[in-house]
Amino acid sequence: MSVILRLTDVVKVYGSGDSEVCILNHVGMELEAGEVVAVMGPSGAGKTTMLTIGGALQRPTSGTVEVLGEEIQDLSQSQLSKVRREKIGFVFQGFNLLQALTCYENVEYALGLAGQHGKHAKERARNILELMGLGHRMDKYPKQLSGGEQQRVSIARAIANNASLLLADEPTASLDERRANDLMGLFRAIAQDQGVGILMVTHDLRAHRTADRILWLEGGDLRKTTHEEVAAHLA
Amino acid sequence: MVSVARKNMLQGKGRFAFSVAGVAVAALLLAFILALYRGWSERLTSYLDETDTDLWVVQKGNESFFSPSVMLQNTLDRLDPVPGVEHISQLSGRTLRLRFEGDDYDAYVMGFQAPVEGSRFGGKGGPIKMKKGSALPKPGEIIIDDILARIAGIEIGDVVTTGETELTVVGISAGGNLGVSILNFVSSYDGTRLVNMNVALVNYYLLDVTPGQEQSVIDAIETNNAGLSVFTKAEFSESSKQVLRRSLLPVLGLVVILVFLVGAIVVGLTIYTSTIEKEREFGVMKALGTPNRGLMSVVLEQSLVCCLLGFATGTVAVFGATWLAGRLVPQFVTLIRWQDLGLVFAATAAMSLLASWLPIQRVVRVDPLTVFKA
Repeated sequence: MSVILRLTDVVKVYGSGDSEVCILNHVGMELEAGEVVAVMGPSGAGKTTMLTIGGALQRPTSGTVEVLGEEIQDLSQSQLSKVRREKIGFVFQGFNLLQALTCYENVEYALGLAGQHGKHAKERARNILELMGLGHRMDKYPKQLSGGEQQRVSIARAIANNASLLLADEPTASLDERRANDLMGLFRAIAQDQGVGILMVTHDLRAHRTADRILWLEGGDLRKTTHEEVAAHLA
Repeated sequence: MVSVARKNMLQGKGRFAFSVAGVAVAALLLAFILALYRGWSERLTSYLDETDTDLWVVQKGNESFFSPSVMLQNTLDRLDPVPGVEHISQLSGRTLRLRFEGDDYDAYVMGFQAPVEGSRFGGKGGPIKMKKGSALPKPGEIIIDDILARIAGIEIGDVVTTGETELTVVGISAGGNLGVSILNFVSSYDGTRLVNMNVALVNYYLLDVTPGQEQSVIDAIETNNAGLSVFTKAEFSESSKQVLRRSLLPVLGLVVILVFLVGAIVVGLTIYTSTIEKEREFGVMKALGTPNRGLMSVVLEQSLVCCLLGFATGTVAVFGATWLAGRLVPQFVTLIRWQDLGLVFAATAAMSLLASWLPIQRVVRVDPLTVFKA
């Protein structure tokens, strides 16, 4: 299987002098195509920082970050934007849909960013939303949708550009049990059917059961853990 | 690709309408001020431009039709023998207070000489155009301009007074509204009597000269008469306009700058407020990979659409406003030129760019990491 995301010896330090804090201390990990990996740990451990470094949103203090084999830690801001547009999809805790756009337009916008326009793009936007079970809700605005529906639109937006890497930040935090289970099923299907590598940060016990692997981040160190260990830790 | 700017505008219709209204008012005021200035510029010298003469002789130091030029009547004896001078007319005019049915009206009264068949003297400087009645007032008679007639409700046969003198209205003329004053006409006799209080004074001499000899006539008069200045018709018109420009343009310029700034501030503030409200969404767009130029184009598009709609609304409104002003205040003179509307358009476009500057600074600095905060 091909490696979608690889972090090697990544260090992230915030602040300087006496206020210096090392959030990630020589962290390393790999995410393969079709794999769902959950990152767990206490609040403030640096899970989101790790996600955003892998998502080309910020640079590590040191170490290397590879997305589909391309090292990105030294790229310019505009090059990082291009990596995000073409290779990465994001699913946020608060959905973060553009409120002035309909579901369909939110997906179409992401397609446009990836350079897909015209009839083909419109068809793809419709197909993805139908795949997400939102064929009848395409013309609705985000505020007209339930939390679960909004999260499915945000996933549709994230995979619209044929992203190989899907990064999700607490994707089930705003969802009830049934919708959270649906979402996890959807993640599993996307990973298996489309070969997308999914890295999600979560505190949710329901979510980590879906993951192929679980990583635990605490005190700047990242280590492998098990479902049982997590359950015991969170109990 | 879907236009986020357009959708944002449609989502916040109230704010968008307020912003468009702000630009529309600014565009209306800019276009109205320009129309007023052009109207005054054109009308101010229309009498000079349309009076059929070659040269204007005035007292030295008076470079405008609106400054008091006073010369002795015997100046004629010095102008008459100048080689190239073919015809001479004299005018006596200044602003007087006319009273009609208990109301007072400040009006310019010009005394001009009636033409005499075969004579080298008189006949120039009368009304530009007659609407009705006699074009040649006799002593004790007056021709009233149509605008003043409409304001005061004066008709032919009515009697107006100035001081103790009664003047019967014998004609209604047109084209005498100079913006700053309205021209009315009396006989040369009444001109000397009313304007110059029976003193043998003349305010302007009009000369017709042999074609091609204008400059030699000007040189001859100015060389031998230290107290006189001679202008061609075009020079005197332009020189009179300059007086208006010098006095009015600085004030109008200041008003234009203020209107421009107010317009830019209204659009700028509404777009800035909208940008702050949408800051998280700009962060999302950035996180999704929208380049900075894409974010800037959202702000610019909003601002430009505001300004275009504001300009269109303001332009339609200015036609209505000038029409209404002319109906309510007949002496109100405006002239809308397409070139001036082009200037207003350029000003609104500049307004939109200026208004976008601060919001653009804000969106390009949005940190996409903020969207990961719950």
